Amino acid sequence: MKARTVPIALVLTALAVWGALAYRPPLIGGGPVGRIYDIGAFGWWYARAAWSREGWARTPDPVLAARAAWHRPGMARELLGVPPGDLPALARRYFSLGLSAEAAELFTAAAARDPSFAASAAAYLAALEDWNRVLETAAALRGPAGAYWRGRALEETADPAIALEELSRVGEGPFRADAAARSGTLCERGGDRERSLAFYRRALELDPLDRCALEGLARIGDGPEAAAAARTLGFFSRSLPLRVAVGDRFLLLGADLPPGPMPAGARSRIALTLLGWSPGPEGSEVLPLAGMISEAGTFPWYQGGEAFSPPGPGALREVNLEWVWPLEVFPGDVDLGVAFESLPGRERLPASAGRGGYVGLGRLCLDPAWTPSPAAASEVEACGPGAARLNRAVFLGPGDRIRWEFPVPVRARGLAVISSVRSRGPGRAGDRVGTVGIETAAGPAAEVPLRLGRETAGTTEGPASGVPVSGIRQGSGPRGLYDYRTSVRFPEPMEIAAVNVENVSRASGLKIADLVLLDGAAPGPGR
Amino acid sequence: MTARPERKLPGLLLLAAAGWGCALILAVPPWQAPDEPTHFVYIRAQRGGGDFDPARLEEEIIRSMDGYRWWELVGARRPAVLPGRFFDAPFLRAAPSQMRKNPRLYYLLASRVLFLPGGASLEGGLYLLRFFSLGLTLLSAAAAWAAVSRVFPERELALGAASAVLVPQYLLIGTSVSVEPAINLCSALFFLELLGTLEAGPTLRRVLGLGAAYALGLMVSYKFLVLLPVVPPALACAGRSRFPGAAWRRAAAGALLAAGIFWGLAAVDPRSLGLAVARLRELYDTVFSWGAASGSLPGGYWNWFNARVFESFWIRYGWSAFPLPPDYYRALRIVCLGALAGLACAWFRDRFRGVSRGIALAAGYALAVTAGFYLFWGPREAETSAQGRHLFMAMPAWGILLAAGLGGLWPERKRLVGAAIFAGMLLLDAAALFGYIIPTFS
Repeated sequence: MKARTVPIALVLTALAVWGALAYRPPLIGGGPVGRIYDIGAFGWWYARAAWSREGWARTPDPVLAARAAWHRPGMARELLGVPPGDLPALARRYFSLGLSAEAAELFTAAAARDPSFAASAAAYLAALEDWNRVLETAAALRGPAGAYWRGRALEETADPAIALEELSRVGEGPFRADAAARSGTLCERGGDRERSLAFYRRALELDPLDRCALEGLARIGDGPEAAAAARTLGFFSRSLPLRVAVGDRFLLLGADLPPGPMPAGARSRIALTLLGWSPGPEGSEVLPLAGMISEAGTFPWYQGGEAFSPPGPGALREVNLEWVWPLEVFPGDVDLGVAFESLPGRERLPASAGRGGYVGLGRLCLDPAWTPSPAAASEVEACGPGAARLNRAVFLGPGDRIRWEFPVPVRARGLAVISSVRSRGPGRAGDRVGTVGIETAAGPAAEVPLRLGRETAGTTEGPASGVPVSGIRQGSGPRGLYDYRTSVRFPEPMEIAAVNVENVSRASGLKIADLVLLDGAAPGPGR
Repeated sequence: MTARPERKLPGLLLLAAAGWGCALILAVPPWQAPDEPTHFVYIRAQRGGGDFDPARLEEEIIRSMDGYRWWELVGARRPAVLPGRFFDAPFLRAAPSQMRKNPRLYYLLASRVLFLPGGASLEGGLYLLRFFSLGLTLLSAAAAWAAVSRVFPERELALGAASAVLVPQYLLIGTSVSVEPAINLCSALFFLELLGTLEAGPTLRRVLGLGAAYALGLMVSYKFLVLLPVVPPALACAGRSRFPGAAWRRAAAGALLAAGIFWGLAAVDPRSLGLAVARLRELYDTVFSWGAASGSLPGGYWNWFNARVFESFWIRYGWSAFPLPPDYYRALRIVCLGALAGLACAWFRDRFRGVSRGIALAAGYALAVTAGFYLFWGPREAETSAQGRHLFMAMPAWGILLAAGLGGLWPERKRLVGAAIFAGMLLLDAAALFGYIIPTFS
């Protein structure tokens, strides 16, 4: 027994060690070593992605899907929407998902395959702080970009004198100001104050907002000069400090968020601080977007700001985004994020943190200011076959309620509700999201539940899987939201004195698009 | 030398199933089986072709359904303007597509049938696929016969047990365009492998066979997930182990089996693995929210649900729209209660005399399928959930339990009991077909 077990264990161990040492991921041309491991690892991540997506209609978790595709390039297009041969696009995708090790491998492989991508790859690798790979990639680069990135990498990994020599080769171009500032830092590190001050001043002459130079002057400059630099830096400090690389263009260093709670119609503003990283194509601009993100994915709501030219390498820039909260944004907590698109073409720039290119900034509370005021009596009106009708959209956040009172009781035989639900998390068919309470003069008389997938539906295309809805789809509303109509017949006609509608969910917005008390005619789809 | 009469029994069973199956294929109008249109679209999509347009096909099918009085027969109001897509069609809206709901394997195989002569036309393809389903059902019947022969080696009750494949609804579903006949076949094969493992112990061949049957099942439908709990006890109880006295080795065999299935699916058909895991998550969520969901069900719901499941297990033809008169179900309830009583009698009297492990496996198998069905579909509070066809995965097991139970009531007349069950099924089939199905659809 033992005689057989020991050799088997040894062979397995040898295979594992061999696999670990010789393993190359199949996305960058791995060989047969590790295929058994790849299949198992792919299955593991793919299964986890399936587990997390909670139902066949949802998009898999992008990080888990990316980890699965790492071991099975043939499914990269299905899992990531990127063909396996497009290494730069794959690298950007892994970068934006926060999978730094995988992204670094892909950037290096992409630069080796296509030298015209090397400058961009070096900038990305520097954003990932993988300085050894930056050095490796920048070795193939000629001109100012090569000297700058080699200098930056050597600044982190080697003798300052060698780095200084490399930075001195930058010469003219967009890297000049930051190369001077970085040279100042290297001199400062070597104890040469005068020379470093000269470098900092030279850098600020070239770009008055170079962060490295401003920090250097604030540190070692003379009184008024240091104070001015500190003031300038203070202008760019934000309540929410960040360090998120956005593409190879700039770093997002911080944001000031609007205070909550925010009522509908309120004007909101986000101030962002950016640090230039690498120059883009001549004259290119970037469009900032504010949007909502959630566990269930990015909401189809965003607000664009004004396009701007990204700052030069090492320079600071303030960007502001302003918008008015629209009616379609449901009440409750929302996760606010920003994204950036390159112009022209509006291609989303990958961000080194976040989801779907959005960088999460924090959660804002949109209630209770969203609780609508009670419906006015003047809104009660006779209409067609209905006895009374709300005739306006009402948005209710979790726990919100409205009461609709009638000065004179309304006689009705049924009730029709047009509603829809927007959930932050995944909703389950049958979850109760709201109730419609009917009151007569004698008190509460009936309660109609509003359940997901039965009387109302979510934002997914069609009803919840496999569950018939008693509601009728009314057609698509704004941004893919579907209104559902459901109707109820009372056993006996009732003299209704008031209707109470309540959102009883914990994390869903309930929209009552319309509510009709039906008189006489049988309630139903033919209304 | 004349053949023993037992040798003719499987032929008799297959002949009966084939005969009734053909009759049902011809008697039931196109699209008059649950989800036939959506399964057909999925199959047709796998056949491919540059001109394939699912929207156009759905429109064409809806027109064909209209031509066969589909709205009237499912009890829905005919739309004044025919919808273009299933999602916009009343009644079909609840499940407008099978794509991404089930793995591809069955649909890929079935799509090859459409290359046969006549397969290009809508109705021609539909009937070819129905005959393909009948073929799968006959294979299921053969597998069921092999299984019941292991449980009843003396064959006295074997015909009665295998007659479960003649349950009218089983034949109706088994001759419709649907993934269900493939599920039933895979399940019958898996059950057969389990029985073999129970007899021979967890040998390498058995473990591999079990793994292959289970993996095949998962590549056909996520429903196989509910059978997973049956495997550990079956392995634990398996007799004449080649690894005497080493329980940990059986556990290792089980773990290796699970890992092998997982690895195999990841290598061969990852999408089916993904679907299975997503459904497992759904089942997990359903189980953990079961209390809350069942607490909000209206009073009398479970009585209604159980009755509807029982009826649709035996027969509710069309889109579950047409039951037989209540007296039929009363009689069938009595038979089932009699079988339960017989099982209890047999248990207390003679402990099944050596076949108890096979019957215990059948009971466990049926229990797993039933529990999975009730957990997953039970609290959904939808008429479409209360369908007995979801229990057909355990059909050989149901047959064994029915025969063993009724045989337990009359232990001295087992051969007669087996023949009576067979005859009863044929009578029920005949009554359903000639008394109700043909008149309804003609």
